[in-house]
Amino acid sequence: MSKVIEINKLNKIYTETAVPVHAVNDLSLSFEQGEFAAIVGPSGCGKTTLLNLIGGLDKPTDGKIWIDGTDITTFSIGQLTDLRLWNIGFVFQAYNLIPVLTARENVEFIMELQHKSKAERRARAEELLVAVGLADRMDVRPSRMSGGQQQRVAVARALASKPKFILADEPTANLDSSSTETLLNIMEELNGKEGTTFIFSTHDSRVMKKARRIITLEDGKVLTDNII
Amino acid sequence: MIISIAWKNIWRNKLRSFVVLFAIAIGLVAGILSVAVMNGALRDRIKIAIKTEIGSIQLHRADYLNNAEPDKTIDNAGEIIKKIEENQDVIAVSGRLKLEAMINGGHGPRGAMVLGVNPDSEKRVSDLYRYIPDSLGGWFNSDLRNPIIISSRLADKLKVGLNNKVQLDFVNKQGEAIAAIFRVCGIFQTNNSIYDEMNVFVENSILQKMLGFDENEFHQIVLLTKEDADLDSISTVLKRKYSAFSINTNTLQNLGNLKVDSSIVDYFSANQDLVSLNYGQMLELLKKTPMVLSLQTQKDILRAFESGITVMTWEDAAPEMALTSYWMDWLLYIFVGIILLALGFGIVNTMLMVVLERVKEFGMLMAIGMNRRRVYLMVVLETVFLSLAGGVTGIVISSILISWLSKSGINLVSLAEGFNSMGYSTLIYPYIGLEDYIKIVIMVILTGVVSALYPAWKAIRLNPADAVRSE
Repeated sequence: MSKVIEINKLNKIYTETAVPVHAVNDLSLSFEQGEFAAIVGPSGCGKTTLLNLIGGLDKPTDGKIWIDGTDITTFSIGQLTDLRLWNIGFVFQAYNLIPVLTARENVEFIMELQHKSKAERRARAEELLVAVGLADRMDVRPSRMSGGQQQRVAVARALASKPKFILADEPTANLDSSSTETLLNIMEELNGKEGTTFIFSTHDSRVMKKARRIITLEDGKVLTDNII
Repeated sequence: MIISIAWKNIWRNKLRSFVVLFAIAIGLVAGILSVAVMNGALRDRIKIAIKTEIGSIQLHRADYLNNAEPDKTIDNAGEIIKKIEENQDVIAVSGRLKLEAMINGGHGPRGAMVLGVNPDSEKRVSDLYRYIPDSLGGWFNSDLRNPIIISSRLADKLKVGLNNKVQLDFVNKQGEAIAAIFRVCGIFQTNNSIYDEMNVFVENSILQKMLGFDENEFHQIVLLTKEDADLDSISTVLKRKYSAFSINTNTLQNLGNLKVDSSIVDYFSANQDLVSLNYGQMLELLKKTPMVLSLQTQKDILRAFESGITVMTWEDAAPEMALTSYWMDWLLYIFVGIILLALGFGIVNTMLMVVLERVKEFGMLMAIGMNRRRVYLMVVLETVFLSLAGGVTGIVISSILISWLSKSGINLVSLAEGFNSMGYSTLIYPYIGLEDYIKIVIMVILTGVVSALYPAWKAIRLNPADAVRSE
């Protein structure tokens, strides 16, 4: 399988704090196409920082990240924005949907940023919303949905742009057991169907059970990396 | 979709948006209504001045305007009137004798301008006859000998009434002093107290006999044009036909009085002794001056060298009104501009709150791939929509109010003395044109754009990684 992400000797030191924080410490990793991986570890171990660096939301202090063979650590802000738009899907802990748009419009929005045609946007949005079990909630705004439903819309939105991989930062942290189970099953199914790489940061044992690879971080370093 | 999101976003906090919207609307209503009232008052003033006092265009002998002596009448005035009457845009033409005189009702003399008019043709160029109430006589319709029409204000000062005698002392064409008794056959009252106190009207035919003028001899030709007529083109036609210019010692002295650049004086001095230049030839000379001249300076220079007939539109005859009209356009910008500037600070404050409340959302938008330009555009659009919503509401309310007030009028009778001393009516019909509304909409959009600059800049300065995790 081809490597989607390759990380080499990555460091991130936050110097804005009174004492500099070495959030990611000389970390090297790689992810292949179609992986369903969880990054775990205690709070402050660097999970979110690592996801932000992979997603181009933050710049490393040192080290390299290659996405599909291209070094993104030298990218400008504009290039990183384009990279995220075309290659990366995001699922956030707090869902972060656009509250004034319906589920369908939320999913379509990212495709509009990609200048896809209206017909293409609509077809893809409907396909994904059906896939996440929200066929009957397409024209409902987020405020009228449960947390689980909103997170499913967020997954559909993340997949809408046909990204190479999805970064999900504690996606189940705000969900009850039933919603978590449903969401994980959907993501697992879409991972198989669409072949998109999923990388989670999580504390949730239910996510870890579903993951096929578990990377444990401690003090910004890879403690263990197990393929299950 | 950004447009749709921006529009929907302004209604997320309805109370806050409505407060801003109504602040803009109320501010604009106040500004637009103030401008409309001033505009309406000025329009009425101009309309009355044209229809009652000065006409659309006036013709005089050029030297009469510098020194109004009785013998400075227009040559071939009768022929000129006949020619002007042929113009399709001209409603009526009338010749006037115009003489300075002293008027006395037995309680002391006062200065006055005596206008010798043909009652029939004058009625077509001026509606002054409408300002004579039935109870105070009429427009030369009595059998009185030597009838005269004066204003009620002058009648009060002279302590005379209808049918009473007044004595006029003036100078005839030969420069001899003449005194004559007239009887008041009509008393008028316009909204212009200065005009009322200055002007008296007698029949042309009587003045001609009394002062030795021929039948078609006039100091002034007045014409009333259709309301939509192009005055500039009519006056240009008249200038080409009747104006003449001479560059000689006298007219060069007029030029010297204008305080123009010495190079201009030298230029015209070099062309001295050119006489009887027509309008076209004079324009050619003006084009070749050593420096570029403003339109007003060109007009002043033309006036300085005029030796034939001077053609003046109402704007030339009443420059103070023309200037007020010009400033009225600026007043709209100034009034509405100040109001929008004040409102702009409120809009900036509101939009800063909006950005602050939606840090997480802006972070998410940038994280999923919305570039900074689009985020910036979205905030600008939201601000413009909010401003426009208030602007359109203000304009709609203003137009309804103005439409209603333009029918009923605003009666400011308590301020009559002040208004009438400036020639303004106390019943004002507010007016604002479509082009003014368009200007206001553009100003509102600009206010929205400018007010959005700082909040939008704050939004795009957010770090998506931090913003998306903010509480």
